[in-house]
Amino acid sequence: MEGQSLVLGRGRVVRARQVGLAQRLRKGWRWYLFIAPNVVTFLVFILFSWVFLIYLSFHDWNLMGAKEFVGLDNYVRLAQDKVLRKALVNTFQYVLMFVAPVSAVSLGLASLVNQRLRGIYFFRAVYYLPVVTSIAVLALIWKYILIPRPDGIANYFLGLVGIPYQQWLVDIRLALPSITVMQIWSTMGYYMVLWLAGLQSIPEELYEAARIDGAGRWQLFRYVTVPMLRPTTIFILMIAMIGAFQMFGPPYMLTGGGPVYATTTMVYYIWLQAFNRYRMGYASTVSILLFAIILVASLIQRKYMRWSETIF
Amino acid sequence: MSGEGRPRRHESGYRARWAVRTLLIYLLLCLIAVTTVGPFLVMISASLRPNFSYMTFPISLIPPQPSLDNYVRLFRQTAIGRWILNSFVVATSVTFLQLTTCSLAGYAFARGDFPGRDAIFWIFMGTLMVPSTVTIVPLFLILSRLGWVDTYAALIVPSATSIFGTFLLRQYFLTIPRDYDDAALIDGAGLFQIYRMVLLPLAKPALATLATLTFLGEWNSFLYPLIVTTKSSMRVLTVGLATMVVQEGGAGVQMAGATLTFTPTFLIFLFMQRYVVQGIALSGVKG
Amino acid sequence: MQSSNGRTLVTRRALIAGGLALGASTLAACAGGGTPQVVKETVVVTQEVEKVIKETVEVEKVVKETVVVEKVATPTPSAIAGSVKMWVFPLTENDMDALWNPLLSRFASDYPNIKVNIELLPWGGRREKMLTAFAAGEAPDIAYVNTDTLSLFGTNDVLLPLDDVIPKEAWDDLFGDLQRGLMWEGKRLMYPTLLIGTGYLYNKKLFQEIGWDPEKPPETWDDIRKLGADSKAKGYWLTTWNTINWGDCWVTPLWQAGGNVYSEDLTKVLLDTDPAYETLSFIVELFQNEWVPKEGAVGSEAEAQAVAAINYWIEGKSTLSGVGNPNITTNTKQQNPDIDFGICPTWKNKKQVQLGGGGCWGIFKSTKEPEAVQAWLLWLIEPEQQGFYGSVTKFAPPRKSAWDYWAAEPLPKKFVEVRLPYLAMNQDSSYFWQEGKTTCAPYFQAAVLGYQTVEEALKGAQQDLQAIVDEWNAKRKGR
Repeated sequence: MEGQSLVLGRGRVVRARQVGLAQRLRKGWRWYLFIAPNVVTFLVFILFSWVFLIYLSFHDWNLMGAKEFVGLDNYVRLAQDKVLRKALVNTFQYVLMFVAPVSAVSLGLASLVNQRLRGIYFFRAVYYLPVVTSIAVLALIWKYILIPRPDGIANYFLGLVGIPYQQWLVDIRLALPSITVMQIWSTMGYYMVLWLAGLQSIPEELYEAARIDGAGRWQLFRYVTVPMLRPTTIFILMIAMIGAFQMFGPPYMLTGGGPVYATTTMVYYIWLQAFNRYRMGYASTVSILLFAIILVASLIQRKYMRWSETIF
Repeated sequence: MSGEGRPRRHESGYRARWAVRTLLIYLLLCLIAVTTVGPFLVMISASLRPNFSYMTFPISLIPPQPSLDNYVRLFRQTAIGRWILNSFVVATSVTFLQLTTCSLAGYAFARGDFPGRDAIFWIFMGTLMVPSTVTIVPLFLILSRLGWVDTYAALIVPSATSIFGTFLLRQYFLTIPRDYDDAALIDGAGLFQIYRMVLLPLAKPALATLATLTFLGEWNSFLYPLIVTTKSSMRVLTVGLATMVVQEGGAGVQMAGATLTFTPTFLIFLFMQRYVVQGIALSGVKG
Repeated sequence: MQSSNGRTLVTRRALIAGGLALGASTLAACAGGGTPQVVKETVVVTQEVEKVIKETVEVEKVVKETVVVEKVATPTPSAIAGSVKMWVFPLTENDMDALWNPLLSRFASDYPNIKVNIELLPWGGRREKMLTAFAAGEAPDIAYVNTDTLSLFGTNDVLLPLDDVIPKEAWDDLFGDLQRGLMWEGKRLMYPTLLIGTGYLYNKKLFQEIGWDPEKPPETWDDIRKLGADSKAKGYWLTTWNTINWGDCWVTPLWQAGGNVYSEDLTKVLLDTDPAYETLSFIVELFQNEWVPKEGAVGSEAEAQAVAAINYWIEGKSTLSGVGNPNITTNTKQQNPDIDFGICPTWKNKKQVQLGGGGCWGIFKSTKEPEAVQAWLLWLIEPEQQGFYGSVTKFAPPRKSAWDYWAAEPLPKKFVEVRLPYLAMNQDSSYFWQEGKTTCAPYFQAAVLGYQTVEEALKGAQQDLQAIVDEWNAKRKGR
């Protein structure tokens, strides 16, 4: 299959594939049964949606009237759209500010709650609370915390350590970082749960054996935990990154993409074009761009991790 | 699973060090807990105030005249039982379906060797990379043509599979040594038996995690059910509660609704974590 | 409602009995035959109304009387048949019980063969839902539509023109300029069910404290400037303001300054004019002098419909309230009865005018039951029904004759009466609302936060918005 050889790299692999293809099909056809439900759902619901979106990207449609064929106009607009460029920059900044910190923080939390202490389940549930609190409530709370005056809660704490008060969401430079902190706080429980699953798969014996060999706590973490967590790490980093590229809630709920486009992310911009400017065709075009970006980023990420390695 | 933390027993004075360390850990746990539980407490406090529509500073968490008035008004909404039922049906169905399909597919992608394996996986991964903001329209078109608008099918079937869950389980299966598979193979087991007898039992933490996240995700989902259902008999809890939100109205009822939506998820999370995930100690099984 | 307030219950029951007796005898005097039938209907409807409207005993009495007054002549049931799908949005906490079930049961007696399905949908996500439904052909027959969606619906020709459906008297019965806001290319596409006219309240006690006459609210922009300065001097806010509320925080002050957003023929955007300059400068003044809280500069539409984090007005820390609908009077009374407030008039600059508008009903052309849905609409907009609608939702009816049936509480009624003569509608009320709002907000924010001067901001907004209007006009010509 051509796709196969592209993904794995040309040259060396192609020959092996061509030789074994019929053989591999004969040996491995049963595997297709295992993925059959996914394939069916994909073909029925997803594939059509994608084809439709591509089709729409060559049209102009406000969802109510007729679709008007406009050829490459949407793509031309894409190239000239200044606000889109801002959205791209914002999104990349956000991804860089979000993924590593949230992964580290949630790993820390997971390690913390992975101990046999009484009431530890309660703490796990409490850390998960922000994930299941509705965005409306969260928006309310954070708007309150981030009041841009000295008596706002966040500024109050800054004042305690002598830092002058900030404008937070009203400040062009601080709006996106504020939202980043808010998102880290509200999703760290989610990633914590994912890390926990991985941590719990590490057998106790490995730690015992390492301790007998004289390893201290930090060495245990570095030489036992981290390698054993590799598949989980890959998973979390990738999911966090893909999610970060599509951040939408806070701009939608709190800032309307402002101030002055400072918090306009790609998905917020797509939503704006589709449901506020009534340009579904252009929104589809931007979605295709976003998809391409995320795909490339994911494949790059994949390249630097050992993707298919089993631990033992 | 205390991981790397426990001190060696033969050390002198370990008890004292252990006690201090445990205390510090609890302190840290509580400190973090305060930040995450704060908004939740505000929400509950607001739901107990009959006339809540604003916050004062400093926030008084204990309402001056607590009353269940908001909850009464909430439940006077006669359809609320139906909303809860719908949410529950959808969330459990989707969770069950996803546990099945994702573990089957995750197994195939982790262990299987078949043409197109990686390509297919990455095509599926594409579904995570297209924002639902735009796919909702063609998806709704399909559902409309299928005649599934305002049905449980529309709420459940498109979410029956999930590449997120498949990915999660794939990674988890990768941490299980192939030796177990091979042992079963030698005993004459087929692919499905290996899946069922060997890998699935070992994957309980991942399954419980997926179940938790999926259930909670479906329970809290708003925009998708809003668009694919209109009839009040098919309404889910999140959408139903939103129909009680009036501009400039008292937000106490809204807060009561948020608390109501939230409570089962909190309980389910606790249940999942305590009884399902923990205690699946793999000591002695692997290595 | 049940046991805890037994005595109140008994008192209420006594009042109902008294009211019914009064009503029954009145009807017996007027209508001759059919009295037992009408009384029974009245009892049924009254009980439903009583069950859910809990505000005050006076309101209940008033509403009961309203219900009793109508139905003097019972028309013969019509033979029109069909089923109607209608989408509405919540205006009270329990619209179905308070508003729609009573209306539906009354309608059923006039038109027993028409089945009306009311679907109550949330405000949040309504555009996504409505547009997606249209895209798939799953639109309802009739829905609540706001006048600001006129250009969207009109351009796409999805609304049934109502000029021939609704009789002339009903159109002429509307207040002032309303018809202009319902017209698209010469055809009227919607009919209003509630009047939109927002305004401000002022805190009399705080006025005294800062040295203002508590019986004289601010009237001109200069008054507001002075009030802002005086309020700040004593540590109070003036009001709240934001950059995304298109109608109240941009269009109305722009009109007051003598300007418009769009030209009448909808080809030009008029943001590079003196009135626009004056208006934006005024808004910048409000923020930069810290007369209004700065967090208002940034906001989202979704948030505007949710709960405000802090309401300085209710806390008594603001001399003026934020802009609100008539129910701001009753909400204030309920949430902080200590505030002694007065109602501000429509403000005056070069003109004394404010944005009027309406929540309307629109019939979609895609309906498969035109006869049934038209019968429903005609019935729904009758003065008695509009009056009842207004009584429950606390908005003013847009038909003059409906005010006879409007059981309004005195404060919301006064609120509306104060500004009724100044409500206006024109091309700005209905066209490019969403586009204007989101295109201009970033520029307004830039000006307010000091990143751009007023001229620069207006120039930028003018360019962007003009591009959108040009594109739209080009497409129209091409059709």
